[in-house]
Amino acid sequence: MSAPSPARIVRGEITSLVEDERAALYQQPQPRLQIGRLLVDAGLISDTQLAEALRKQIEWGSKLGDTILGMGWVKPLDFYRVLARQLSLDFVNLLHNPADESLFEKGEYANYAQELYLPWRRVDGILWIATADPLATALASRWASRTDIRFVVTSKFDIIWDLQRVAGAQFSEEAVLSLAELDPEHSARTVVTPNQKWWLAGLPLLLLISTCMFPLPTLIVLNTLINGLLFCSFVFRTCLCWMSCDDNIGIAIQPEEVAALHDADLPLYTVLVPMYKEPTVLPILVAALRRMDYPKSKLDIKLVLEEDDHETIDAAKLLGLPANFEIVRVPQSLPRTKPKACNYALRLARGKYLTIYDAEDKPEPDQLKKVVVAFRKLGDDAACVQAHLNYFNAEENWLTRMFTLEYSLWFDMFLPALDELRVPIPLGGTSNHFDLAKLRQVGAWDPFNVTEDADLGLRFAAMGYHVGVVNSVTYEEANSHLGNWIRQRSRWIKGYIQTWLVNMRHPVDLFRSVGWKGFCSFQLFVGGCILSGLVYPFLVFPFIVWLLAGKNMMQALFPGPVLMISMANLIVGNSCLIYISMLAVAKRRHAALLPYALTVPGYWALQSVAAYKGLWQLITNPFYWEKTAHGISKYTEAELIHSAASD
Amino acid sequence: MVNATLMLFVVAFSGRHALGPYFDPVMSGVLILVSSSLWYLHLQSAGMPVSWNVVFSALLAGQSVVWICSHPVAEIGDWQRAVGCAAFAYAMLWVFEVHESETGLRSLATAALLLSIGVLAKPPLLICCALLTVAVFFDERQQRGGLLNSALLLLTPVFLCTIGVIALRALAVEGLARLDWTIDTNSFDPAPLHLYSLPWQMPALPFCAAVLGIRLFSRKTGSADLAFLLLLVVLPTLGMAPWMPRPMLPLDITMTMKWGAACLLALDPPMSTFPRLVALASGSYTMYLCRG
Repeated sequence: MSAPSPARIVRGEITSLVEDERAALYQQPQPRLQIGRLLVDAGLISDTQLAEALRKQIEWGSKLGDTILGMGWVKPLDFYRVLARQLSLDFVNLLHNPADESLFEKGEYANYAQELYLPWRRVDGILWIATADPLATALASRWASRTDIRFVVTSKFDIIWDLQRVAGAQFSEEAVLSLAELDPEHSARTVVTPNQKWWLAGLPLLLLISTCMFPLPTLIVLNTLINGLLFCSFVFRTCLCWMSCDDNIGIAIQPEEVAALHDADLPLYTVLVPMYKEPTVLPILVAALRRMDYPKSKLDIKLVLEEDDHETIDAAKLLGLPANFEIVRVPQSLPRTKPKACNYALRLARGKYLTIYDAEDKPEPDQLKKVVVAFRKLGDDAACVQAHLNYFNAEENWLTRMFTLEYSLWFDMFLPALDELRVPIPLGGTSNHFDLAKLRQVGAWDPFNVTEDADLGLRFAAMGYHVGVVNSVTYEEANSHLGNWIRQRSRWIKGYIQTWLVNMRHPVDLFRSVGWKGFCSFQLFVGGCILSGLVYPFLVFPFIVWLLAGKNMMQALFPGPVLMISMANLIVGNSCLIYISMLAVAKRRHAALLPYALTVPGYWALQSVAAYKGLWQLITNPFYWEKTAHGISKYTEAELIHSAASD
Repeated sequence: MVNATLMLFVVAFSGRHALGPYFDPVMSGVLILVSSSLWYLHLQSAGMPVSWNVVFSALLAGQSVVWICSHPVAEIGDWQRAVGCAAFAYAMLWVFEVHESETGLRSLATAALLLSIGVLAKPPLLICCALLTVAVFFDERQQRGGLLNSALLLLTPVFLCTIGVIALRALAVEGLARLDWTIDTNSFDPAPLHLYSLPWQMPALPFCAAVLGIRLFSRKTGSADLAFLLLLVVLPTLGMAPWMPRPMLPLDITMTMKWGAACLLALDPPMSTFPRLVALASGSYTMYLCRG
């Protein structure tokens, strides 16, 4: 039995095809050689490139076209024109001949994006489908029973562009409202629920009355409570660090496990890069993604840009990106946040796994493969794997050193230990790798929460999913300017407060869903982070007064026990922070930073400034996204040169 | 079991006012129970059979009971402080042994955090343990970015704790002096050691010698043994130094030696009967000497 020609398939005779014949069609060398030969004949690739592509095609287990496009040897439009010629189909440029939007079915938008096709036109009772892959199995089975179907070839970019033109408004609305409507109890759209308002108003009132009636006992009780919580938080963090001093903590993927992977077995991987007005640092990320040790034909990279961010869009276009990069333009709507942009792009994601990188990120080349191994090791309940984050400009100034100390502490010490304890992990801003199906199932990111990743980590835990931490690092640019740092940090603390408020709407439910360990860890880790930022000045103040004014003055301001508890906590807390920071950099083997850990208390004072700014903003402008400027480090230029050289 | 005995310790300590004059005897009983239970668990985790565990734990408890029964009640406070010092030495020796088998930062961090608790022990013991820690972890200096960085990693907690204690004591001088829960670091009558009488004041010597001999013959010696030997030499020397703010009592040294030997025995217990019998016999003789 001879295989049917591709032309027959696209002429509506697809019903006669059976699965094994279609498989045979892919396995036969002739069609592969044909498209390759046509590309060579058209002068688009050389014979050497064709030979290399055929070798890679087998190694990667991809189609020849995807392999060639992934390598960036042919412009997508040229490729799809040749593909149309090979299949004896017409090629259509959707930018010039857009699809008839009346043919679009709202329920089918997800399929259009996943399977890369659109209903293009209906002429004389014949429905013309524009597709980037007329030989796709899913497409064939979808139209198997229809005889009124004809196909035209278009590029996948045209499909994505045209789909956004028609469905963009709906995608945007879903990106903003889907979580708030499906699961309002877990959305930060309502900052404070009516019940929480009663608590927030009632407690200070009670405190005021109590202070007026019993000033000293009230002060002692309040101080003991706050300091007790803080003390537990410091001890908890020290225990986490002590646990993480073990080299074997977390998911340690060895190089031989990565080497044992077969590229042909790797799944399609979506990479989202949300950006806003960051044209300068874009080449760093593009170079890093090009260096990734992952089949290029299996990368679905989306630069998620705001519609009005023309400078970054133009910069992306000028980079001459290969076909596995796409530009997704997010329509303007409020709130203008990164999670909303990610939710929008999620509608267009096609991978089995999905990750997020910031514009200036430099992930280690084998990160995606390590994550694939990690997911396989973790089993079915794994929803997310977080990679470690660190900085490439640690040595720039005191602030970047402190920031590096803090990130080493957070990602090398805290998160692996939280993973070991199987308690909720507040995810970091980038390099979190998701199982796409599970991400969609939990409602993806909350666009109203400005630390959407931390919130998502908790939601995963509440739904019984496991979040792991993998031993791969992504290097970022540490904030080197104080103002910029405070803006970023205030957003983080504001987001932490939002996350705490959302999860504490029903504390009993939270306790039931994450267990006592998860509940305590959430209070000590997330709650402790907020509390320490806010009360730090009240701990330092007695100490400074004591130094300047002497003990008599102190006794008037702070009665004996109050002073003693505050002082003890100040000493214990700062000692813990200093030492665990030292351990963190020792683990990361960044020995030059070790003495700087002694200055950590100064850094925590800055944290307090940001905490109060964040709190104020939560009251006045809760959903405002304080944008962090990237590309301001003096190391950025060197990174750009390095990126250009590596390209 | 450990949780229950620790809870007992906390209850006894917090109820010290209610116990009044019975506090010291009750506290001593709880201390004996807690220490014997912990040693039992340590022996058990190292693979010693249950019957021998019971015998050895009873021996440790018996030594303490004999000492308490044969000395005046006024000296019980000294005994309790000596137990604190001995427990600190036990934990340090244990960490030194762990350091040999465990890669990574954890043993170093444990040693550093333990040292910080050592500010509550007597200064000669703290100094001695700090010196031993630096010596034992000397091999980590390349890995940790040099000698200075290693020293910072090892000694920062104890340095910060010392500052903390000084600060808290400074605060407590006037207005807070009435708070009896502030850290009390120097409240006993010093009775200086004398070199000539030292061996006769140390009933733990037979037990120490037996344990070291057993480990030597069974080729189980490591950095913990070396550290223990150094501790035996350096601790009395430092304890007799005239400039030392808090001199050591013979009792402190005896307890440290006894618990140090107990630690070595539990780190890798003898697997055959003869060495166990030797350890038991020497321990029993030590108990006999504990009569004073």
